[in-house]
Amino acid sequence: MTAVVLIDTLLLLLVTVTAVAIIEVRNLYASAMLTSVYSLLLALVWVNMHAMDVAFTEAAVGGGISTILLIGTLVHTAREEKPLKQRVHWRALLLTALCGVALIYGTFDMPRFGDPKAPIHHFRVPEMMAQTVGFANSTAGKQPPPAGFDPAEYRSFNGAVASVPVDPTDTGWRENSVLAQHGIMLPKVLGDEVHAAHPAEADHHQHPADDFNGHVPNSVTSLLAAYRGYDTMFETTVIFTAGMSLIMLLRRPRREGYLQRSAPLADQPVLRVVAKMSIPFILLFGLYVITHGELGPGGGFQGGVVVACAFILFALIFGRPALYRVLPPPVCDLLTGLGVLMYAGTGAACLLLGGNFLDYAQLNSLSPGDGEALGMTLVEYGVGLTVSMVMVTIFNQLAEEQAK
Amino acid sequence: MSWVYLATAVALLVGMFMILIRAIAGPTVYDRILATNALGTKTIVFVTLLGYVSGRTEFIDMAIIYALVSFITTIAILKFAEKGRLD
Repeated sequence: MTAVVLIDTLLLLLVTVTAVAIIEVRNLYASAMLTSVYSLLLALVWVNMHAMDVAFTEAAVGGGISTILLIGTLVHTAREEKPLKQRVHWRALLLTALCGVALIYGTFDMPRFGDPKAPIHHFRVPEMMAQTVGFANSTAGKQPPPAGFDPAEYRSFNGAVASVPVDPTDTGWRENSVLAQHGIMLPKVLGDEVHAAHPAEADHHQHPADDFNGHVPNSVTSLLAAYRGYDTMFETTVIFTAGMSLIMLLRRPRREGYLQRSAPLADQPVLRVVAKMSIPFILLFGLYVITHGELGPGGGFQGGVVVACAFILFALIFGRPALYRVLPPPVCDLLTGLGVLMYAGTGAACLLLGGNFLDYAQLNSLSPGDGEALGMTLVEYGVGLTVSMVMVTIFNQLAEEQAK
Repeated sequence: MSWVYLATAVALLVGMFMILIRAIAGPTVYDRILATNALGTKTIVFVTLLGYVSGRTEFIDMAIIYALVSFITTIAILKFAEKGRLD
């Protein structure tokens, strides 16, 4: 038994005990607290597997925001769960057990944990990780080509040899772009000359294996923001919709005013001072997590939640009126939409520059790799903006007293 | 992973298990709040340990997130206990 497996076993034991306790505890307040413990422990399991991005999300969303929101719902409900008349629903139990057995049966086909012969280590991923874009003219911030790197070898991936579409008579005007079709010609950019001088970079878009955008060091962000960028965009839209639904369900009409009553922690000087000192650093850390997403673990979702944590801490200690002075609800609503717009707008900008929707390489024709890093950063900021503002909105709506 | 680190990790996990028992059984709300907070602290130490062993600096970011999140969660829990509302 290796150390990783030993630690994993102990952690999973802790997680299971917590999960059973959450269901069994009658006191909903205790249940909410145990949910936070559960998320922290589950995040440790991901940390142990070195799945840092997942662990980040689990810790920030599960351990932080969702616990606060669960307590927010407790404001509106009772603290104790009502005992059920029928203790065990046999048919439901049977169905659940059958589903569980089917899922466990499904795992028998999966490779063992850490198996070097697993398909993921041999199919597709090695080619993706060995992306060659941006190697031709290495500048600061770019990786030099690895030792023994042969561009030709990668160009003939899958047997399909990509032709190098460099036309010496190319004027640099982009006739194929949407703008050009409407008579608007984009000026000749320096990048096209670079492309002509370095065919390896020019045929980036014809590269048969280049759908992974491997120039971003953190491959998880690359996967989320570029490889399946549509998916992430609509995930952001889902969060936006959640925020909007909550506003429609819970927000009082404006004529009644946003504020009914508030209970700031006015008699807690220590908390007030600590909060005042730490909020700037929390915001800074949140921005760091969003901006740093393409280099290390983190990204828009996690960073957005951290930024929201700062606002929620402010509201917890100084009361909701103070938060509304800093961030009035109309501004909050506007920023929620702006985040989604930033994401879709980045995609539309790529479209107008002559590429596909969300084809970030178009953003910087001088260096497609840097264009992709720029596009991913912009998109991450959009996600972060929407997520943070929706979380603040949800908190506000849950904390707000209901109209009688 | 040398046996020293492994022993430290296992010791931390055993400690977490004991705290978890208090978090689940804890007769009063305050036992549970204390246990939740202590578990958060143990988790930070555990993440930092794993990061040191595997030599990856990103684990520190992770530990900062934990510290931050468990601080804010504890304040929310305590405020609800004292005032019965969140804002």
